[in-house]
Amino acid sequence: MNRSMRIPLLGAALLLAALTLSSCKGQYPAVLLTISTAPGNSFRIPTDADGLRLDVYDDANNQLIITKGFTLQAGTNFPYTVTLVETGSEHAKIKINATVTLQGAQVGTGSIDNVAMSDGSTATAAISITQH
Amino acid sequence: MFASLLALAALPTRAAEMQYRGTNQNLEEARSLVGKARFEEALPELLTAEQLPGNTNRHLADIYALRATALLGLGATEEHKQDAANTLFLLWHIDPQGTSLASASLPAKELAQEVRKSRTIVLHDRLVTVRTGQPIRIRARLSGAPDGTSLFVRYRTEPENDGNDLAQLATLVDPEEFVRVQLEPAGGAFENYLRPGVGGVPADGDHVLRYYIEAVGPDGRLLDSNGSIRLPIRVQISQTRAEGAGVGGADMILATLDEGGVAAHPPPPPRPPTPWYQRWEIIGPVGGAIVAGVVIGIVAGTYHRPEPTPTSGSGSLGLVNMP
Repeated sequence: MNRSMRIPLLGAALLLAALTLSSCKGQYPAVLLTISTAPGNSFRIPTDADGLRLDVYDDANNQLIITKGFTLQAGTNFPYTVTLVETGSEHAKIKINATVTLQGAQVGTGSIDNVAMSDGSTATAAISITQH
Repeated sequence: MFASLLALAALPTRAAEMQYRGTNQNLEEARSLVGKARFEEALPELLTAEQLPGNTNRHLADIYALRATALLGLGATEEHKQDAANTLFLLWHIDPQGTSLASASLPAKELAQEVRKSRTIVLHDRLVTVRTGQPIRIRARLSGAPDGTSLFVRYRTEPENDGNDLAQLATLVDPEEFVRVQLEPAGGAFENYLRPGVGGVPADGDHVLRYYIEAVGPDGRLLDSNGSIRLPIRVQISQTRAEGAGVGGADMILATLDEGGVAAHPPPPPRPPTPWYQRWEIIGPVGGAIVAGVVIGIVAGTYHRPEPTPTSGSGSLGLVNMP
């Protein structure tokens, strides 16, 4: 390598390192939620259940943060996993209600509360669905 | 006893050769770099080598052969090929036998032959020294020239110690100051003799003859010139020095002429100390640390991306962003 090229390359490497390091940002709080059926309960998808709705609340004031519905596709089955990421307002702890439906009718429920959302990591939580 | 005397007689010649022959350090460095396939570094070395005073025909021919090798070694782009072709074109003017191509790469050799076939070149063993009072034979061959091409030598003479720097005077020199003589066909080549006492050719004493040979097409167009009015070939007309021509055997003489009796290439000054920022023992560890930092940064940056990847599986529902 031409010696005169070394200094610009060194500078470029330093700049790249600085940019890379400066681009690092703390991870949003997240929770990896596993939704499974309670022992003795089972759903055939989609004959026994074809939908799942999650209602997420702030555990402190019981305020609804988001409601999210999913269509349960044939060929899949419990347990389901979903990752909730807190990209907006901060909530120290959340509560999640899960509702399993068949053609809109509620056929199973489960919930979990006191799920801590901590910055920089992905927490894990599990909901067990009881069939109605 | 006789052998000892012969050996003693040979000593001054060898000493003189050692003194005057000289070595172009940049050329040797470039030769080494080309040998190691470090072509990009070799090119500036060759440029410096070419610009050094006192280069012999052999030096120049080697420089051009190495330059063509380096250019083609960098990659056969059209630009490199064109530069190499132009360089080899110059080489043929100095080394009509192509002896310097022996150390060139195969692509350079092939391109050299291509250049020789495709372009009109005046091939001529350049004179270095001629003996005063003897007819001076100017002989040249043509390559790649159309039928009916004629060769003309243009020459002028001046006293040896005139002190004129022709390179500076060239702009003032009228082409008509150069006597023009046509070379006649002779055995597949063209030649003529400059005879002492005729046409300004000196009959005695030490002089300098400057000349160039032009190839003129049937339509009167100049096709090529070996040497030029600005850079004519310099010949020493001497009463004492041995005759010589071409790239072989005349190097010492030419170096002597060019440098006025001093070494053609005095030893270069020692290299200046390398600045700290160019020393590998410093930039090596620093560069390593920087690279490590970059890698760590990239890994950390990737790891801390704001979007955690959901666990995949048959029942994965993906990612939900909470407002």
